[in-house]
Amino acid sequence: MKKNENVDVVTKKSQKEWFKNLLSKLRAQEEMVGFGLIIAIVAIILLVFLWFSLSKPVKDNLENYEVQSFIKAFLQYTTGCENAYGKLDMAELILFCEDENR
Amino acid sequence: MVKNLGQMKIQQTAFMLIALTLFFALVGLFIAGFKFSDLKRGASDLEENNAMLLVTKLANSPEFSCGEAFGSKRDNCVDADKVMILKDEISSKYRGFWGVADIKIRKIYPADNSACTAISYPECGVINLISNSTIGTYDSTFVALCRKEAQNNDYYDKCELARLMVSYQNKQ
Repeated sequence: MKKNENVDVVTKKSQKEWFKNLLSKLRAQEEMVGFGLIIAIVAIILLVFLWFSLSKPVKDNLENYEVQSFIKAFLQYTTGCENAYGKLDMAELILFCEDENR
Repeated sequence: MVKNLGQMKIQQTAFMLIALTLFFALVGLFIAGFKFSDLKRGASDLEENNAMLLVTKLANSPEFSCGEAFGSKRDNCVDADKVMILKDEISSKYRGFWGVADIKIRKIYPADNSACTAISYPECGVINLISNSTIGTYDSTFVALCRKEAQNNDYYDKCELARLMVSYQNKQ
């Protein structure tokens, strides 16, 4: 009988200790989650900042302009070929060749 | 014991708040430092952008464009005779007008590297309109460099391929 009482006391003590351990573990987990959240927020802020600072203005329109300007200038180039009206420029020469090939 | 635990908690919160404030202050300082170190590059980028925008419009501006001197109105056509007259006037009447360090027109086909003067024109390849000794970076656009050429007691329109180059000063 006395032996059974002793066993009961031991199990109650171990239960209390287990509960204490669980509580402290939960508290630690809660703090870690908070810390993780802070790190995540800071990381997001840094990523947004990096994205803004690294994104360059688009130069596509200006590069397109360079191609367009080359084509316009090239078509105005005066060639060595001439007809009855005088020297032909590149655009006229292309049209002339097209007419000849028909 | 309970009172001590409460104090401990308050202390912990206070330390955490101080640490967070310090952390955010450091992050802010890092960002500010990065931004300010980038200012000079930003100024150069701005100048580059201005030069690019200018070069796209310059060829069609009244000071450079052919107008209707070569038949119909043409895009990206520069009147070489007009530019040679402008070259003489530019230092007195157009100082700082375009706000760039250097403007030149370089013939690319047929290629020629000799500088144009009143004597060598039109047998030359580079018309220096605004020349600056400082080193800058160029932005350019293709243009047709046209002039009236004499042939057998007559004149015809001669257009060659050239690059209109605008230079801006590097701030770095």
